[in-house]
Amino acid sequence: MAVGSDIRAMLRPRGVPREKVAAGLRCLILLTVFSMAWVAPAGISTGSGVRFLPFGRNTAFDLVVIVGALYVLATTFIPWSRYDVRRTSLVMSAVDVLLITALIYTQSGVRSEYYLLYYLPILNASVRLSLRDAAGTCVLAAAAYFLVGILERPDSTVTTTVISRVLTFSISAGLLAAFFMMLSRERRAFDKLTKHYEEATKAKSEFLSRVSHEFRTPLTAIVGFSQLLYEHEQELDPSRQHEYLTVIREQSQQLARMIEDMLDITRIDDGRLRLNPAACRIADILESSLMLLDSSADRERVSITAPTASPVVWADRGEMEQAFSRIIYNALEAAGDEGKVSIGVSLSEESKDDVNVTIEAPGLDIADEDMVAVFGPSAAVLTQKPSSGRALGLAVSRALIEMHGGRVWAVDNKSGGSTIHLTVPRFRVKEGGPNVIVGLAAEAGVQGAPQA
Amino acid sequence: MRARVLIVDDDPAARKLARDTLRLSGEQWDIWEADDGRAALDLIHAVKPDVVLLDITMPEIGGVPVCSEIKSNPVTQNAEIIIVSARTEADFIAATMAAGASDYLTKPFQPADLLRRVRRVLQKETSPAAEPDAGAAQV
Repeated sequence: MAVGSDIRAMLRPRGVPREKVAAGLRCLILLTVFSMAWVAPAGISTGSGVRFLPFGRNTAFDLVVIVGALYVLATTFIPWSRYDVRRTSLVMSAVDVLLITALIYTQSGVRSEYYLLYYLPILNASVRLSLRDAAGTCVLAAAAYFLVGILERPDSTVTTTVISRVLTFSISAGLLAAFFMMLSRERRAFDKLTKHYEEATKAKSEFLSRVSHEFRTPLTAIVGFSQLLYEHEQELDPSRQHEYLTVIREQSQQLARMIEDMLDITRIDDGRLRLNPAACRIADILESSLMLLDSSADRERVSITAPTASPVVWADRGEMEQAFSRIIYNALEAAGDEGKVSIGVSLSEESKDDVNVTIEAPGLDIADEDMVAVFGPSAAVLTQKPSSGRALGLAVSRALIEMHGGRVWAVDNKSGGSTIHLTVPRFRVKEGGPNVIVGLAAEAGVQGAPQA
Repeated sequence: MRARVLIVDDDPAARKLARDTLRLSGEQWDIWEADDGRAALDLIHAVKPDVVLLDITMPEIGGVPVCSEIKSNPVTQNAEIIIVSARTEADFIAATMAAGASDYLTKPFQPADLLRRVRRVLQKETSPAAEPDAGAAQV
């Protein structure tokens, strides 16, 4: 984020937005030209036919200058950001063209040098709008100027002047517009990139801050109880010592799991995790994922019901085992010490291409903020919500399964628990799109847009 | 007189650690525990603790509103509050101190550090100015 701001600061004077600088310049140029035209002594700017003088000598010209000056001031101080930028810019460019035409017509006609002012709205359109809008403004300016030529008395020199000037300024304005557009397009691309970068950096620092917070919980127990054991070894009876060691062991395992989750999240987020899928039996994957649980007591609390001929899925076995083991672990945690978790495997009713796995998780509250973050429409919202250790693990599972082309969702079973549903494809599929959990990578802005 | 301590934390391991740290210190304590802010507020009138060890991130009612509530109630406002939290942001710590906490300890902590801070706020409480309140706290 800091680097992004530095780049912006380098490119733009502090505190002055680009739009305001452009509006200020436009105002300055037009007002200067108006006042110069208005006070210019008679007979100097035109060789013949004096048509203007300050106040009273040429009412139409006075009117154009006064109305024009007021319009320019008004448009300069309107807060543009509140309105549709494209529409207001387009209208402003068109009105600018008409105003300049009125100025030319009421002053000294086609002989006036003020046709050069047409560059202003054309450039404005090219910077703020698209090439089509800039070309439109250019055509409008040419047509308006041509009209001035027609309204003048018929004269071959006038016609020649008009045609040559229209051609000259159309071509040069077109080239300039293209140049400016190229610059502003690059500028916009750069702005977009900087924004992505800033968002990714922000997501990363928020994620790190949350993770560091999460790490502190098991660390508190590990640091505290090991210190108590160390300091009071003599006073503590063996059963109390064993109790402390149990807490330290459990919390270290928890910490190790969280570190594993965090590493996996970063691998998934920056696209380093590649799947090596093959056909494997879903029952084997589930059995193996149970072996990844910490204790055999946990394993005994899980029951698996699968068809005798276990369906085969197309999966990276190692990663799929990790995904299942995290979900099963979280379901067991939510179920409490005595709670049981049952897993069912069936062929999908909706689609013959998927295998359905349901995990009954008593005690898992999906209305819980963390769970909403994990099972919501996008698992990328983890940075926006307070995340617990289990939310991280479940987010990894979901990302892994989605990378396989599967889906994960949860349904409240109305009896104080939830059922987690998964689908895993049976056949080789195009891998699921790149998954982003917290938006650590630069693509975050596109893939895993953090949701407000 | 035994100091009365209320430990408020949703993590059982953290509560156990604070409790055992106090018990192993060789001093006598009366210890109560609450696993969230709601339980702490329910308990505090009956317990009238000298010190509250208060976690911040808890379900339902977090530590900051509990801290404000304790400090705004005339019956409980004499309790010294030590925040024990995993949150380390400086502005957050400043905000909790402004809510009336006496001290802030970040997790993970050394047991000796917790003990030192508890003793320090208790000494502050038994300074002469606090004497008249001692009777009121007994009930």
